[in-house]
Amino acid sequence: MTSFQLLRKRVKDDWHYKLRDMRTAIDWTVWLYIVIPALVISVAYYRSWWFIAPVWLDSIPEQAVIIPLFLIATLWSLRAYMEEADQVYLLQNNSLVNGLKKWGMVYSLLKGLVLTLLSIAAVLPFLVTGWGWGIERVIITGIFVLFVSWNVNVCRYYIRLSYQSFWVKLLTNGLLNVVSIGILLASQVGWKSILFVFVGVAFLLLLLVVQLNYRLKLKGTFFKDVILERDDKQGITRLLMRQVGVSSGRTLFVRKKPFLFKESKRLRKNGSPETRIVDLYLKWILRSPGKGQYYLQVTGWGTAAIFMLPLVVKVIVLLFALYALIGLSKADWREFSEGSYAQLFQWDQQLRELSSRRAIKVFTVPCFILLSIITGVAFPGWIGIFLFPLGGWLMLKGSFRMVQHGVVPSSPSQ
Amino acid sequence: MLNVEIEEAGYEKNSKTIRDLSFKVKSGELLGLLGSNGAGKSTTIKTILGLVKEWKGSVTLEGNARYAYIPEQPVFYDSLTLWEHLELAAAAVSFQDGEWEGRAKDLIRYFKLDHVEHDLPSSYSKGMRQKVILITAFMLKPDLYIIDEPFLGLDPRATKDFLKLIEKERARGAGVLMSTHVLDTAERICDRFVLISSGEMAGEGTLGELRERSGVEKGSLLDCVDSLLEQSI
Repeated sequence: MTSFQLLRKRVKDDWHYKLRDMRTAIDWTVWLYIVIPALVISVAYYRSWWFIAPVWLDSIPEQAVIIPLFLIATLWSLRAYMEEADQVYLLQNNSLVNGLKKWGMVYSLLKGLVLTLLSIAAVLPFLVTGWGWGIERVIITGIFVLFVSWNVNVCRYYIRLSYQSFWVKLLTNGLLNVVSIGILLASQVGWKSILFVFVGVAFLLLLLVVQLNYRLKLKGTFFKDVILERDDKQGITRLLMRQVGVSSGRTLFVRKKPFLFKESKRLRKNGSPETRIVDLYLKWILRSPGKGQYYLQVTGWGTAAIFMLPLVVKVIVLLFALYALIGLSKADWREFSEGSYAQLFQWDQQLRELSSRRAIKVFTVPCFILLSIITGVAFPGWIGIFLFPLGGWLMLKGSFRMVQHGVVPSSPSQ
Repeated sequence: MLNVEIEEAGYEKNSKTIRDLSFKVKSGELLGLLGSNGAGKSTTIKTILGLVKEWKGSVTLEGNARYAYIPEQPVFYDSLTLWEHLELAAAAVSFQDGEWEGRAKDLIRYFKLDHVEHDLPSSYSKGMRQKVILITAFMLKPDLYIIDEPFLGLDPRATKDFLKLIEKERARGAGVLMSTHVLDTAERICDRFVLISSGEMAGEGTLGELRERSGVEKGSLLDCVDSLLEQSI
């Protein structure tokens, strides 16, 4: 098998994997009620923009178009298409490994080209109908976006490969984005000058050649490449799992110390076993970004819905949020108290029951009371500000009493 | 201390992995659970812990006896530090403050993890992760230790430290049920053995009794196990 054939097989597998994930997430109801209507509306709007530019376009400076162009054109990543099992055979065959690397880069760059074309196509009605751009300016902008997209994503690969710290990665990626947008902004000023365009494109091409050449010569990155590749392959899976609060598996760099409550500091001075268990549960949730994010999402979406929807629907949203928060808290507590480590010893059953009652209140109470207050504020007249928080509190008390019996998980012991 | 009478147990309703197992672990005794790969040792341990749903029989712990389980593969929470794991274990068994910290510190020092006490175990090596589980179990001072393949991942020094602690705990009166493949070590430290083959008991007793039953006079535990497994096929 040649390296090109190997890449073709892996790309095919990758597409199968992603399509399978998409099929899992988007069933016929999602197609029927969300995807197809969204596509029909988008096509209708897109078509209409070719005839009349939208009114809101007047208030946007034309240089701002580089932001969506940049965002769409950089939606890909430089991939090596290496797999863990390659250490058994493939690594012994240098020409095959190098060939796979090269073809992997070519394929990645092609994806960059396709996305750049798509980004240009997406904003083309605004450029032509709205701001009256000529073909020359569109092509020059497209070329700059393409070269910036290629350079940025090769550089992002090095950042992912080299830095462990979240903050360092955030800063370096932020700086990279600022510099890239700066170059694209400059292209909007100097596009009329042939010298500027020539020097700019030559510089970006040279930078790309240097970066790609360095990538080909780089040794000892196999295991890191495997982890990066797996992250890219499972991108859709991770996105879906994050939505349901499940953290992803092994990452390229493993965090040594927690980013919150370092040195195992206690949250409260009261050291009763029950308080210690609830505080450790709280730390566990707060240090797992996917879990905390879900509570924020329920509160955030709930807030938006309460402000935007009619009165009766506000109350339904509030009830649904209570149901979602309690369900989520119960699931999280079960995961914590029935996790593999928690089965290494026998829990004091009475203590487990007391802790579970307190643990499910930890996030439910503040989030739901906040939503009740927001509903009160959104309710016409001053009475809502008193009525909803009070009603919310009573509903919470009733709900906790109702779920208590089902909350405590059974003991793994005899 | 522990009385096990398993009629049958398995992971699915109509597929039984182990049958007719019966043995006891007495106070201060170390019982070795032996058998080849897939014989049913781990299923036996999981049944004792109540982790297997489909099973018939009885597993009784004497009085208010407490156990601690040391699994083959270390398990932990990704976002809690070593110290927080111990804090959780101590809290879960109702240890008050002042009752466990000194012992936890001593054990952390004993297993040489004091420099990573406030780090996340997900960043540890495999051997260090196994030590987290050992520290958890010894800190709790249970009446019974249920141990599944304890020597995997431990370096010789850590293995020796672990065996020293086991001896101390047995002297305190703790019983130990230990599943292992390392027969030369088992021969040296275990009082009695239970041999499982294809989910059934292929032998039980002290080394002398196993020698008698297998007909391998003056043979090692390995010779006895080998002979008994041959006979059971």
